[in-house]
Amino acid sequence: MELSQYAELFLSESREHVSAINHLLLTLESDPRSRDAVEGLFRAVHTIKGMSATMGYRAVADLAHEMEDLLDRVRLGRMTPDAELIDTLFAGCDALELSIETAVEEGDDDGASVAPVVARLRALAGTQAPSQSIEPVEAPSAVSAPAAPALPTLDVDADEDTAMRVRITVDPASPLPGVRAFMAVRAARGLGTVTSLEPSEAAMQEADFAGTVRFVLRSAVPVDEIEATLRAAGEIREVEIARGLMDAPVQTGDAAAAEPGAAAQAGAAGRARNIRVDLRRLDALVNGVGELVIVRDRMRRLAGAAEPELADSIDQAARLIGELQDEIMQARMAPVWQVFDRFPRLVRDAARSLGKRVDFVIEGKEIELDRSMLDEIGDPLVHLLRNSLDHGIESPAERRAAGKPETGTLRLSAARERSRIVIRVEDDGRGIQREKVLSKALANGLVTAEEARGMSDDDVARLITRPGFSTAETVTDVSGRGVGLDVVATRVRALGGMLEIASQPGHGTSMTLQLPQTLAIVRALLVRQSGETYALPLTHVGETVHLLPEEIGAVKGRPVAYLRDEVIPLHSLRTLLSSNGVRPEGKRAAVILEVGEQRVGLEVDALLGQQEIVVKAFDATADTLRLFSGATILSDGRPALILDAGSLLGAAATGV
Amino acid sequence: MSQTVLICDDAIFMRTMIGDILTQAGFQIVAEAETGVQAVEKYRQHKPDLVTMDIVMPDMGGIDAVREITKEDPSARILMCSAMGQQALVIEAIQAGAKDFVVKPFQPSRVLEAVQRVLG
Repeated sequence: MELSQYAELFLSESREHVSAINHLLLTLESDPRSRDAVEGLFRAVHTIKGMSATMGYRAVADLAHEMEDLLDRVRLGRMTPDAELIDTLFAGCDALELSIETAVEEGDDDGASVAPVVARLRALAGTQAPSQSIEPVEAPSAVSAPAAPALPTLDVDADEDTAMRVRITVDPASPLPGVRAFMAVRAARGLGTVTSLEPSEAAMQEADFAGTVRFVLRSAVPVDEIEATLRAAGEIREVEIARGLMDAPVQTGDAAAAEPGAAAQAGAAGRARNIRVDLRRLDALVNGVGELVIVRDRMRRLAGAAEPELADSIDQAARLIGELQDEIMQARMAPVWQVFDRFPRLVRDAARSLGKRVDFVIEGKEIELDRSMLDEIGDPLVHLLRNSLDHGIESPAERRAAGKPETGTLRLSAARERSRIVIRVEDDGRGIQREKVLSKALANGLVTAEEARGMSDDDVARLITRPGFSTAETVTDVSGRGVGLDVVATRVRALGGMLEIASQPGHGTSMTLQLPQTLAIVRALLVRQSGETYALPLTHVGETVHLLPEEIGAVKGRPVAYLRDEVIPLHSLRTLLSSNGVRPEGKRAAVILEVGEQRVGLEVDALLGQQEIVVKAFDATADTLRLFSGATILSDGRPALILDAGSLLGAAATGV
Repeated sequence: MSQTVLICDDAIFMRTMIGDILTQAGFQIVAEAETGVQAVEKYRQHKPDLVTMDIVMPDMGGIDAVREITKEDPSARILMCSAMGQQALVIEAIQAGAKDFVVKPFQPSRVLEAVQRVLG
């Protein structure tokens, strides 16, 4: 049977079980008496064992078998899930994950890779339970079966007419010969009375069962019928039946066990109700639809001048394209738990190695994000979680001294807020240490001593995410002093999102990722500056305004806009882009950017309207491109750069 | 008309594989169950000619499901799907009313033989 077609299915299902094992081990660790956790673990490992054996992945099957063995002992109350056992099972789970991936990738495995972990699991089983071969419940007393047992001698009170001696040999190829023998005996009991059974039914289940059983059957049924009935138990190689007390068998026969249908049928009949689609194909679809959306917008503009009938058709096509786009975007959505899932284990391991105690809470794991976005946020989130564990949450002693519970709380939550997805990492740790951050920012030349004095706590928190705050050396240093939140912020901005940090000294830190729900197509505001068109994703556009001269003023020499009863810093895109030209006469057009809690006005030459744009990302790390998150083709066919609101604000703040 | 089958296993992988083997042999898969409870419900609903039953499943295991099913329909034809090292459980399942068993890893020929025994 062609197995490769099942490899994908095996992989995805095994991954789910590995993930479940991690979760259940965490549950068991916090509640060693949880029966549900033990049962769930046993099932998960058992399922992986069955699947991997079917696929012929020996290493995976061996490993799963050893884990199952340990868990079975726990299940039966023979072992207690102490720290050592849990750690060993965690190690087993890691090795299991690795061996599954390896097996699927390379098609086969030799088992060498898992040998150390298998040995560790075995050793543990050995130490905790010295003699643990499963004892037969009722051992067959003195009767130890000889290698080739003779037909049983008859009981003294044997009834000569109906008594017969029976010997049954199970096909040695049978996977469970003991069960076959049991079934044959059971069939015999259906025909009459069975006595002098040897070995006993309990002994048949032992590993050293030789595959032959003997018994005396008293039955009025004809011999050939008896034989047929016994053979019907399946996988029976030989049946010998001897009437009465005589020694010679009267009937023997070999099972003509030619395997019917041995020509294994390859190829699946395709009963799948779900199909798996290569993400690249979905990407291509999204790009295609994106182009279609652009054409749609162009058609809409032309429709105004067209025949009413043509205009109607264009309208209808436009609507259908919109629906198609929604469908495809929907097909790309995946719940965040697919990424969150591995975090509990990660937090547990990190907290342990740091000697900290943490309750890790996950909320909103059903919230959906575009698949490609999901793939991108994993690493940034790991950074944020590690950062909280490293720098936020204090050691138990420190927490006690501060009058807090020894166990800290780390909360990871996802929520939908308007068109954005907000993912937040919150801890109840010590908060951002102002002095530490400022001295580092001073050292890195990000702020002057004078600026530092006037900075609010929020400004200080924002400093951490500014490019250049952490040095390259600390970026990769996960467990050390800095985690490189500026790198996280840059990454998140490249996704069209925003990282915000708020902190209350002594009470905790909250780090918030604001993300657009989808990556590829966004609604954007088009603006003109110095003859060029730029796109601003609506995610960060609060409103657009035309400011009258009296609505513009200055505070401390910096321009501001008076908007209703609000005073908003006002920057000019012309200045930020170092463009040429002069400001047009009349009312001044401005976009109010909203990035987190901040609202900032951005003056432009003209507001051109909204459009859906297909984002073509480019590497935004190069210095000159820092203000842009990508490029797009507009519905009139011209290219435009996409402005990055977060970077604009950063540039405005530093007065570039 | 082809004979109908209910497949009970908590792993999609296993259900797919058994389903493929049986479909190719001309059977019609009428339902699948992921738990013992579902197995009993689906049996009631579909009265299939054959049931393949995994032993280890969440929410009522396969053996209890066999008990429940045969209690309501003593003529139910159930094939147990077990793993190596589950002799005792398979025997329990047979005592509970299962007609035969196959052991993972499955060989299609062995599965079909066992099916023949169950239906024969």
